[in-house]
Order: sequence, then C-alpha cells, then structure tokens
Amino acid sequence: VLFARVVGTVVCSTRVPAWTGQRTLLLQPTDPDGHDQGRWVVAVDLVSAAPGQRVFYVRGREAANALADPDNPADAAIVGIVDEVRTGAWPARGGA
Amino acid sequence: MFLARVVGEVVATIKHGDLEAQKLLLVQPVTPGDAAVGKPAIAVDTADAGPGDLVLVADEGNAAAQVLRRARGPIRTVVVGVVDHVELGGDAGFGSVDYARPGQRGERADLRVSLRILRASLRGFAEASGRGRSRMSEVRSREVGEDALRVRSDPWGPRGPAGPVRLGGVRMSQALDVRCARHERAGYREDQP
Repeated sequence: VLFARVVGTVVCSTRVPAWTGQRTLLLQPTDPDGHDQGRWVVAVDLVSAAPGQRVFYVRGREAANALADPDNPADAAIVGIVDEVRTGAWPARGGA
Repeated sequence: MFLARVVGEVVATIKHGDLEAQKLLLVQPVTPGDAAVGKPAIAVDTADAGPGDLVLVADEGNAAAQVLRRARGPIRTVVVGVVDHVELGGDAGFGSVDYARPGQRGERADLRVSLRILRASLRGFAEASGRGRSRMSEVRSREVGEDALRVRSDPWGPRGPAGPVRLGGVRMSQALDVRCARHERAGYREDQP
C-alpha cells in the first residue's frame, strides 16, 4: 500500500462491465512526506477521493479484490484517504 | 517477506471496509545491517509493533488474507512479526553503529564508533577507531565481523528519538558504510551486563 495524491479524473464512456459505477482517478505517487515520486497511475476509486487529496492505494491483484466483484482488471485501487502521517515525534508505545 | 523498520503511523478516517479498525504502520524496508532500501510502504499491523521496531513484513495477498483470517481483499502488505534479532551465517558478525564521536585530542583516531553487535553469539558492544580516517566509510574494526555495517539512519535507534547525530558536521543519517575486518575473538571486548 503506497501514498499518492489525486491529480485528476479519468472519464471513460465505454469500459468493462465490472467497473460500472466506479470512478477512475489519476494519481501521482508520492513519498510519505507528500513529495512526488515516480510515474502517474490510474486507479479505481473506492473512497470518493477528490483531486488534491492525499490517499493510499494498493497495487496488483489485491486492487481488483477491493471491488465487490473481484473478477475485474483493476491493477490499482484507492483504499483510503490520508488524514495524518506520524513520524519524527511519534510517541513511543504507551500504556495501551 | 522482508525486514523493515517501523518509522511512522498512518491515520485515515475514510478507508476501504476491509481496513476498518486496522492499525496502519509506515514501514521502511531495511537490510539486515539496518540500512534503508527502497520505498516506504503502508502495512496493516497484526503483530502489535511499535515505533522503531524491526519487523517482518509480508507483501502478498494470500498471506495477508490468511493472517487476517478473512477472504481475499484489497490488503497485501501486513506486518506479521516483530524481529528480535537476525543472525547471518559464517564467521561474520554484524551490527549497527550505536554512536560515533570524534577521537579525543592526542588520539590518532579521527573517529570513534561504538558498534552494537546484533549477532546472538556476539551480543554486546565493540569500539572501533578510524585511525587517520575522515569518513565513516573508512572506519574499520578488528573486533567485528566483516559484513558491511551502516550507521543507523533512523532516529529510532536504541537511544531513542534523539534526532540525527552529527559528527564533525557530517550527519550520521547519511548512512555511510562502515566496513569491518574479520572478527577476532581475542580482541573482542565483552560488554554485557
């Protein structure tokens, strides 16, 4: 599962039936700090992400599993919207 | 599976149903010598790992489904264990640099480095000095195995999040190689409590 930023929407009038009702978004992969890294990727959106938002996405076969019908050709799927990444001053494991 | 260092935590309110109530950790893949390699990834924690822990990460969908005891879903990267220590075969021990400081005045050494030995049979500390050396990469030790050692590049070393250590203006986090000569028992200083 990797970080990315939503940079756009990909609209297709014709596509495989398994993707009916799913949005496809254009992602720019980033590092944990949000800096761009690597090439753009088109991913199926499962969390209603909006352009500009930081998200994380899963690659490979598991992307297809994210949809209700796993028999589909997705190779990247957005599975979460990043609220916060804690590094640096992240407190040590406490009483929990 | 690969070794990784837990370097952070990811918080997300909106996420796929399969990720609900799962702790998401930011893991940086590392070599057995604790040097960062490749891109950090987000992994679902099943081993109750904490910040700075060396962990075992599985990056495969079937493994993830099995560990999480559920049908195959969109999860493939999972922390499956917290590593106590790693042993490498052969005579070579290995470890990570615990601290380094410039040599005292009068010493010929430009650098003194304390090496934390991770190999079980050699657990402890050893000091190496880089005589006449100005780069960490040139420091050699008779007391430690010949594997490449690296300066800890994360702030979560055994001394806690103290921030990057500086040595003569050089950031230790630049993760320079410290190559060490073959281990010699005779010269090894056992430093165990």
